[in-house]
Amino acid sequence: MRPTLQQITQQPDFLPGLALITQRMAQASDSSEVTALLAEAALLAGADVAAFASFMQDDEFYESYRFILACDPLWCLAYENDACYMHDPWLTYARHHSEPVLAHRLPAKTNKEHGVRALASEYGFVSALIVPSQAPHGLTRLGALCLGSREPGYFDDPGLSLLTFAATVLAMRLHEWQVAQLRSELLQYAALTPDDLTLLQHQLEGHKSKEVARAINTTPIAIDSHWQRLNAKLGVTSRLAAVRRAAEYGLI
Amino acid sequence: MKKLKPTLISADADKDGIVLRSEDGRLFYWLRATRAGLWVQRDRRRQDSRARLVQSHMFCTDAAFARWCNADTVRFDYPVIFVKLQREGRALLKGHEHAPDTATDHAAT
Repeated sequence: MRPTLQQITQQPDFLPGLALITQRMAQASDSSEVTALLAEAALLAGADVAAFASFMQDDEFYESYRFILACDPLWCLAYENDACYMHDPWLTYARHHSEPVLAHRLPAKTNKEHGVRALASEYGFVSALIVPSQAPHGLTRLGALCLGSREPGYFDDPGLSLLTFAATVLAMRLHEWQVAQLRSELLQYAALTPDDLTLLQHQLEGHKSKEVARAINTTPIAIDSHWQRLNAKLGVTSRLAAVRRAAEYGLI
Repeated sequence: MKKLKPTLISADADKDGIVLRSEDGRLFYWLRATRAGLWVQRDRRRQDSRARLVQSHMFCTDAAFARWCNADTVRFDYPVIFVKLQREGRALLKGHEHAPDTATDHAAT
């Protein structure tokens, strides 16, 4: 017979095991290691399936949704084909809340939202715990760890509080790791220099070209010219968009 | 079809593993062999909804990988990439036991 969530959380290796996985995640050298660690964590937590989903406004044109999957990956293909990201009640919750929640407490308001929930259920998230992890205020970036079970009501159990505690730490670590990846991707993609980052930081603080020029002992024309090159590197059309992109990717 | 700027990908992708990119810049795969199996990152930008979806998963068996490949509309939209994906994925899975790492495959086989 399958152990209950309470029995699983009372096992001596539950918290130390998840703590160790969280620690290893911080030291993970690549994405494949993190994918494997999420699967290990799900197993230890008694979940049948798990996914870490993150969202970000990539640039003026694209929104990105990233999934690290420890579940049937066909779910994610179906999710994409049905454009579920536009009607996902779990993601909507994670946008506005930081408290972990059981999925059945989030009402699906539309037929499309019902469809997204039904799809998740079909792929093993019959009952689920959603643990949001958010970026600082003003950024679109967010993440949510979803632990799922094929058993209805599996997480409605006295063991939930301990699982929630461990899952919150895990979600935060996954989000931190994701931001570090994004930062590395943008640095590589745009080949940003320390001077570029200084300029972005000045813009973030609202400094005009003249002020920046004074601060770094150059001319406003040189600053404007630098901005043109920097915008081109980042693939954006304005200073504000450049700062927004750098902030979303955790550079400033 | 409009060609997009290159997708932002990990700096490690070209150094470690196999990278497959579509010519229009909308589809990207990164495959790596690990001791636990085949790790795949699929990155697709949808023109219709301005959404980019990136999914990472570990496959332990050839059957699970084939099932995932065959369920993807990429099969029809990018047939050349699809064939390469299957070939490279299978080849990496064959020798994955000698690579480092651990994981569990949750895909139904």
